[in-house]
Amino acid sequence: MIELKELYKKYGSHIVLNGISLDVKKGSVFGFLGHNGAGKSTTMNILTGLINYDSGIVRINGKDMKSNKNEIMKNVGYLPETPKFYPYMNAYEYLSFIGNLSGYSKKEIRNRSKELLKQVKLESAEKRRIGGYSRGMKQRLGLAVSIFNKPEILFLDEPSSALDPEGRREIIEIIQNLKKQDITVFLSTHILNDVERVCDEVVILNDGEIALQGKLNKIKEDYILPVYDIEFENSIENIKELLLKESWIYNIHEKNKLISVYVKDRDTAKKQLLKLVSRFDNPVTSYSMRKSNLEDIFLRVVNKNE
Amino acid sequence: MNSFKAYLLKEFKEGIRSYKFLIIGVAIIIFAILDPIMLKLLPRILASQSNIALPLDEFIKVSQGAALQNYLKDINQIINIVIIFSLMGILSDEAKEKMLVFPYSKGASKAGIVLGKFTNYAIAISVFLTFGFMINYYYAGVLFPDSFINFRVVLVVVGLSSIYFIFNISLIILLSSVFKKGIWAGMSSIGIIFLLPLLGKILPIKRYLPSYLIDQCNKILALNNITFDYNVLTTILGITIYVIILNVTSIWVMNGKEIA
Repeated sequence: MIELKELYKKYGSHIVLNGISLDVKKGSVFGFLGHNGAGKSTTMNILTGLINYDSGIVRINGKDMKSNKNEIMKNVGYLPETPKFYPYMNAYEYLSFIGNLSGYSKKEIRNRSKELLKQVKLESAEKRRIGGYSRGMKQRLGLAVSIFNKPEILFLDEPSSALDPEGRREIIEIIQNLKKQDITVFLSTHILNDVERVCDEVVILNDGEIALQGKLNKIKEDYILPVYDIEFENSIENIKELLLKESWIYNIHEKNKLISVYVKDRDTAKKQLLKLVSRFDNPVTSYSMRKSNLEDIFLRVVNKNE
Repeated sequence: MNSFKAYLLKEFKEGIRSYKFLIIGVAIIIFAILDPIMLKLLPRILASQSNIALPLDEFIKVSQGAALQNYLKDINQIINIVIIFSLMGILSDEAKEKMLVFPYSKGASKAGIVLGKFTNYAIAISVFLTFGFMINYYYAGVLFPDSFINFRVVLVVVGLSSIYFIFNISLIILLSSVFKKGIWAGMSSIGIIFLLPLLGKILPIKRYLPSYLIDQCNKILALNNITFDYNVLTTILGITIYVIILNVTSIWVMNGKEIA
């Protein structure tokens, strides 16, 4: 559905995308992760035809972006991180404007606009000027605009970053509905919890290069290692240093009398960790194991590459 | 065609709601009304300022044609500046503010965007100028009833000055597509529009310049007769070619512009 091969983009001497390649399958929700400046928005802008690229291959639905840009755009929707509208228009007028651009008839525009305004819960504000909308309302209107032409592929750039928890939940629900409609969603976000809730596959981008790519379940299987939270009765001076001498422990976080032990080898940890901490002259008041999440994987992958 | 229609309608709404039409329209109409009144009052104002006892009305003879010429001068100077500053951000502001991201992502044609904007303001300013000249013609006729200008002359003046402004609009659109900030588009438009007539004084290309149309408007108003120095159709044809070149260049610039 979306195919990138050896994609390069640079601004002056600064290389933003350093030969990234990826493949997104039809109907999947694809999580695109990376810290600020990793190249996520640049990739999104290339995939939506807004900016050009220096070299590489971009194919959407098997069609080359450079020679079929306008045709591709008809089947693509894009929600930028900060959607911008003509502030003097109201939501209905803006959707009509988009409908006119896309060549819809008046009747189709009216019906589709009403349907979308209901879907994004802006019915009551449809006659208010967009200039007076809150950021969340603009984001919801942006989503309506992006799916106006019933796209086969939807690119969402940080769709929920500006929203309150309620707004975020609504956006996630909308994405889940889109998935049911077999729409391919390319989701760039910082909110890893959202990725875990909706994505099938993820890519972690770091400094313009792909640091990790694969199905979310497989990545979790391969990368997620347990974290042991151990609470001691007394202060935990020197314990960190002593534990880090073990080769199967790769990191420790301390907070008051609690330590979180990040391990490389889960089997050794199961057998050895409890024995190890029992040797300290400091009684253990609680010992628990939790599974690390995508955030831990993200930090590990990004830190490993730095 | 979809993009052209959508942008034509959008620009019409924007013209009304962002007060661009109001600003340009009011400027054109105000001068149309005030110019003849000021000319009528000029002898009295001068007399009161200089304490001269002479009847200045006898020395300063103003006709309807002179009033129309004065209005034409104001249109060419002050109104031109008002139009330039109202339209200088027509493309640059939209690109800078990322307003074009959604339309571009829906496959909007750059030709449609540029031509929609151009057509809207070409029509709007021609309509305003028609009203302006009609109002000015009427007031000048009421206040200076001694000599009448042939109405056909005024219609030709409206047509020629509209063509002159259509060139200016396409120039502003091009410069607005080139510069990132509207103010630079505005300043360079002023520079080019006001320096072009000088070029006609240096080089033998006067009749191929848009400003030649304004010169000829002045002339036919002074003569009250539609006779031109050269065939004015050559100038109109030249301007049509310039407008096409300017608009095609604007589309080309927008096609190569990264707006995200």
